[in-house]
Amino acid sequence: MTRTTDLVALNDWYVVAFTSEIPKGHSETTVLLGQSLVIYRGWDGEFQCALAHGDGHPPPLVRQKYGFLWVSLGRPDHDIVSVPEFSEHERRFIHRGRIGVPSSGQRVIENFFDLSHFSFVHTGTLGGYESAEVPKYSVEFREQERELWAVGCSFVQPKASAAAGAASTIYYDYRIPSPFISIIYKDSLVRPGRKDLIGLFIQPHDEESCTVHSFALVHDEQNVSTHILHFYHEIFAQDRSILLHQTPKKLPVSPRREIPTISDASSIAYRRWLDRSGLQFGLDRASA
Amino acid sequence: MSSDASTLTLRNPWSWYPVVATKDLERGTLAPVVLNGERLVVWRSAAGRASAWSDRCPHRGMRLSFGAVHQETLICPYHGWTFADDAYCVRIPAHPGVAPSRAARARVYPTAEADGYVWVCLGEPSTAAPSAQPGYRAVRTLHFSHPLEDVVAAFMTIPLQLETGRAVSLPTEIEWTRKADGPSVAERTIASSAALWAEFEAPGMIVCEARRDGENFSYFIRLQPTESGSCAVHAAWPGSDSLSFNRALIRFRNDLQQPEIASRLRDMRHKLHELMPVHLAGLIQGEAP
Ligand code: FES
Ligand SMILES: [Fe+2]
Repeated sequence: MTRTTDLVALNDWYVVAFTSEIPKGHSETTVLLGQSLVIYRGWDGEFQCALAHGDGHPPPLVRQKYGFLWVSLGRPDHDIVSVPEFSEHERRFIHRGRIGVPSSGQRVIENFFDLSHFSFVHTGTLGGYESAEVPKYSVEFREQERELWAVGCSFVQPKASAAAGAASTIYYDYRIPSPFISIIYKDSLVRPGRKDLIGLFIQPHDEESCTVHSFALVHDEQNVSTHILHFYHEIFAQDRSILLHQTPKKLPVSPRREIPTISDASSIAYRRWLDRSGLQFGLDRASA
Repeated sequence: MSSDASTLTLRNPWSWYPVVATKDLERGTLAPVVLNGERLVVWRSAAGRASAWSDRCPHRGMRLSFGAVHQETLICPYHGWTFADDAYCVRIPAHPGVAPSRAARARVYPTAEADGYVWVCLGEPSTAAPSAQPGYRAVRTLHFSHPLEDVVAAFMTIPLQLETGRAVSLPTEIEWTRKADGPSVAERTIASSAALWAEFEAPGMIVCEARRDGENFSYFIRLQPTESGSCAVHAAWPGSDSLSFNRALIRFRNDLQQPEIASRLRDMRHKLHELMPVHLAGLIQGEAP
């Protein structure tokens, strides 16, 4: 595995671990953007991260935030994504674990904010055959084009979450604050008017494989975490069975490579936004 | 594209190759197949029409072979796009009232059905689809994890043995002839009590006649290049005892694993190459075009 030379990819922040999973005095090895890393947690609880093969590159930057360990291999010109809901204490934080996917991080992100697969891939929970229609939503750029949002999304869902008892129309906003992060803001079924958050922090190992670190911030006092996790894992296993069989694994950016439809407005915007960002890593830039 | 014999190989984009036996593709079903490194989905509609498409949905690249046949359409498992048998998308469930764009079309390959097989051509076919060989019945498809060239050499020099418990008849003497009328080669193998006449009819098609203890039987071998380093063999014969033919094929494949035969095969492959008329050399060299 070789370290990418893509500066756009190198100058970003990525989650590489959930901090409480690494005990004090222990170390772990992992791979980010083709670079092997050694993460070490000292007896004081602080983390260090070193390149497994130095090769004259600068040492990685390391931060702890939201319970995760973040690393940048380059010189980021922006801070780690801001998610103020982590410091509001009305929701329950659930670490949803990490799951490896043999595909590009971008394919995973695109699948995450895609509404039109619910009826076919998550039949009976997030969608149903009878109600496959995707209502119109809008796509916005925020924070000087640093963030992509799909807002006003809605979908009829037979069982929208572990807490759902009956079918209902669920309203969503999707936030994509970096090529490898997406957060969904979803109507709480327990506290009307409030939003639950589900987020993915992708750690790209190489252009065609990644680990998905995931969390939820939910208003759900009823279900035990294992019940919520079980629901999530069932959903994720269904998505994974799609991601495993998509080709190419890298995300095509040319609009001629894959034919979109109206409900793909967010996917079209995501691909254009990635294209404009100059990112190469994980993208298929063939034109036809 | 030219069908000039001087550029013929075992993997011509203008030639037809069998990819599945007609009897193995029932109405309303599909099969993923690999032809010369290309992943295809072959499916048969409820009315019986067989099609071969690229195994990639034009929408977001999902493998169509994970989908389902519904009447005269194939449905992608990811977003339910529904393709008619001309490969155009006719329904996008996310937008029931909207006519799909003409660009939403799966990639189609020329497909024909004849002689107990579904045939596919990856490019522009240079000939009409293969026609029926009366009296022969497709018996089975067997996957070989040997290079295509070795399997050609094996079928052209080693006769199938219908009886169990006998050693493989390795060729002791080979006599080559060249047919005047185009790209085919006849070859004869003589062992102590066995003989084989094998003829290369077209790329990927070998007609064999074997004699064992004074008894003759013939069979057709059609070769499908799959991934590099492996191939599929579609075998047909006129006999009614498909069980013994089937067993003979499996034994044949197992015998190719024997080190003695493997090394003989390498020699045979070189010899085939040497003995082939110059304009046919590519048949045995067989590098992908
Ligand atoms: S990938 Fe086939 S319908 Fe979307
Ligand atoms: Fe999904």
